Amino acid sequence: MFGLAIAVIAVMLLSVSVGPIKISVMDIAKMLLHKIGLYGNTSGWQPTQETIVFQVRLPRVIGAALVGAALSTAGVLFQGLLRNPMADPYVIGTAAGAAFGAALAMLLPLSVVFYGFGLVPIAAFLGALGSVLIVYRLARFGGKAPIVSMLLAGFVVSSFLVAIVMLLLTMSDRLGLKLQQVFSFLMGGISVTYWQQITVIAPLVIISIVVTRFFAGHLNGFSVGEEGAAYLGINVEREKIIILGIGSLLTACAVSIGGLIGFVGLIMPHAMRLILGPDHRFLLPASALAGASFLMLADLLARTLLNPAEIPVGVLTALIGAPFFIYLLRRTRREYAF
Amino acid sequence: MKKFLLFVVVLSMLLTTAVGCSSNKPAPLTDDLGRTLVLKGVPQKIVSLAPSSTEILFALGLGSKVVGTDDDSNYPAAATTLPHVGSGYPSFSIETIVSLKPDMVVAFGYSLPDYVTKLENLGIPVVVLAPKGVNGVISDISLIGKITGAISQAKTLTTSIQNSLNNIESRVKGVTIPRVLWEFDGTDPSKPWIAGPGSFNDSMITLAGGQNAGDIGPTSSWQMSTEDIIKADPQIIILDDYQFGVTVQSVEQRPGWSTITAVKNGAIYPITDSDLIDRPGPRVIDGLQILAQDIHPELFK
Amino acid sequence: MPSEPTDLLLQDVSFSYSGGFALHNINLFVPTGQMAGLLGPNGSGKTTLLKLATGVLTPADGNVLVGGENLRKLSRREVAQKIAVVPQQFDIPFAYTVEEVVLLGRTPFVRGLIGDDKKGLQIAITALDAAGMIEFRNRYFNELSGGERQKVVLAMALAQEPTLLLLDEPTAHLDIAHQIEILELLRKLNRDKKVTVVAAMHDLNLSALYFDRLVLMDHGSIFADGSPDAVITKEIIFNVFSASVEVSRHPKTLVPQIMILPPNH
Repeated sequence: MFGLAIAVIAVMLLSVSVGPIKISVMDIAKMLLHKIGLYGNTSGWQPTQETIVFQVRLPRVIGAALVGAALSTAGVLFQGLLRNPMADPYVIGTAAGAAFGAALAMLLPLSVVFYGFGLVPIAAFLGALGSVLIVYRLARFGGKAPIVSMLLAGFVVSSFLVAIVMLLLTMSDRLGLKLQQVFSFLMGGISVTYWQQITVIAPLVIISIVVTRFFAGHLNGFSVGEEGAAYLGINVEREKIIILGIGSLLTACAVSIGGLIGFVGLIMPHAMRLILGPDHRFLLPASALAGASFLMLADLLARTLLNPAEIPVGVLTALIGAPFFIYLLRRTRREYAF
Repeated sequence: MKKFLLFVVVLSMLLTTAVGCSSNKPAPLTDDLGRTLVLKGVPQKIVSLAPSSTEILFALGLGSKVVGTDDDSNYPAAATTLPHVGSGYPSFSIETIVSLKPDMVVAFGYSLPDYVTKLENLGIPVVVLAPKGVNGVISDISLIGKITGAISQAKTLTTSIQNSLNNIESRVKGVTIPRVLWEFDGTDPSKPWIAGPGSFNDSMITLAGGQNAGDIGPTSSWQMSTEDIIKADPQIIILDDYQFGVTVQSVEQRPGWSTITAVKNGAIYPITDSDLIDRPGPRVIDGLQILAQDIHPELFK
Repeated sequence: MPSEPTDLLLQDVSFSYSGGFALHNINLFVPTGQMAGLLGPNGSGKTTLLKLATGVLTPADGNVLVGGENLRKLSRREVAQKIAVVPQQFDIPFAYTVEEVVLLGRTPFVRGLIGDDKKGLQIAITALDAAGMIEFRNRYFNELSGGERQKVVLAMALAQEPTLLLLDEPTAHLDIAHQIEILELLRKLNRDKKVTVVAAMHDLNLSALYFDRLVLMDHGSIFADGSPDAVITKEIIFNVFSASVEVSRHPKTLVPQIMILPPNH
């Protein structure tokens, strides 16, 4: 675990140092130390370089780390809660809700900036949360929301919202002009412009991840089913709401910065399970850290491989993630691998 | 002897006239996609499927022959009252087009749109325009002129445009060429959509005496990251997303952009009438004029 | 294991599912240390009664008290510290080891951010040993056979250190040897550690052999309640199960055993 934490920092440093404008790692380290008051000598780098590091690269890299951690953690939560290895953070409608919100926002001629967020990420965030709320209400009956009902409702709500987005795309000239941007959102890509965005999202993500650690034992308990979990003393309905809520919040945060980045939320938990086993007390922190590193790396490749063009991050996560995962799968000899 | 020579001369004159007449048939016309046009005479009822084509037709005095236009044709005023046949996005209404009984359709597209095949199967000839740059517009105007018989009007118009073009070109010749960035879409301020190589805007920038800073990209419209923009350091930024609410101020406030020359010098110009500058029709020359003024204010007072 | 005695009392309990099936006026008292078997045809309400006894279902009328405390007033956690349940179905989609599964039994006792719960681990190991599965400690739960899994689940329940143990058809789907193994274990727990045991059973003969008291349910009510002698009679079996049986005595233990009379003989 400690190793993973070190990896995160190392990857972060690496990611910040690579870019179209050459800045050495040493200079970056000096800049960072200078910023926190540990290094006095300000010579050796140019002010434009400092601007780039602190205003352009660092927010983006931190954004990538947060998205990676959020999606991986959400993946763990949903897989554990829904007892379904195929669950990912988008399974109960968050992706469709976010896409719907984003499409609506692109239709409106408003230019809003709220803590650095434009209308599109805000609408995506709200859309993601809103759809989960709808799914939960649909699945709830007699004071309980059975997991199978939630999965079904999630599928139905997703299909419906996606259809509406398609309809909007077909009917709206205005949206047609924004087609490229819509597509860009759907394929996913880290988009952080202002530090304010980080100051809003970072606490939400970090606190959520820390809180999940308290539910780790109970998530283990959910593995035996909703009924079994109740027998183990877990207040199933209440904790379902809490875990769902946190998972959805994490996903919504991720979507507001990165669009719909796939693969990470599904595969990172599995990869960590293969290495560390299914105990959530280790799985949760490990997935968050590994997810952060992974996405920073994917983003780094996304923006450097075909520079100045940028490959959508979601494409890269699948391209590098899939072979890596297959390798992991083959290395493990367990039949019930997960 | 003289009589024989006279006979040969007259015979050869007659022969050459005969041969000359048959080769006086007009050479086959091709449209911008290289398609050979087969027309049964001068078109009398024309449907235009793009605002630029509509403008060309009306500028050539053919307004009375236009029986229908696409939804977005908004100039000149006379065109707005004509029946609409839909918009290219998602697709035109073939039925409406056919119901207007046109004998020619003027379409627009850099690759063959599939409704063209449908229309031709229904016996309606289609001309596809795909102008590359202002010169492309000029040749489009000539082409339409030839097809419709409005040859002298076309000549007048193209000459006027060519003159203005030459004027602009000569003025910007030899002057230092600034780097220009053309922004299409700033929804994601950390990587806005920029006009890339081969785009119409790219050619406009060059004609106006600038160099497109976005021509290092992969496609004609692509997302350029803030860092790459800073590295390219454009001296002039053209905002083509004004209608989506992107203002000069919002661009100046983007983190990191303060290091860009265009921002430092306040050389950010929003396009307020994109019909003028983005539409490859006869008024594009006016748009080019405005662009040249933005890029070289010192040359155009 | 348990430090205080616990009895189970269902007092005038009524409950109905929205689908219509209902339990009416259930009055049942199981004193501390008793091993009671719950019998009845499918759909008679055995599982429902067990769920009411655990608090997972709340009665529409009446009260359920465990050790004198009304379940309505207890949190799920508090209930789980007294009552453990071995459910009928149990499948885990992830690759937990046997040890990890048994450790789940400590969930009601673990608080917050516990890294290593040494005491809990010890209790879990003891429970695993009591269930006779200690050698399977590091095997994957999903790789075990039905009988082996059932014993692990029992160990998990034992790790809760319950004073009341409820089982829903613990011997279903098991072969004879395993059935006997489980029942022997239960009896040992009951006799040695004074754990109150209530198990829903489908096998009448085994029930008679292992349980001191049988509660027979029919259509949501208690039809008969008493010793095996009192409950397993030809008339009662016919009334409730609509089956003709001959009742005889077990040669060694003298408890009633049924012999099925097929209709065409």
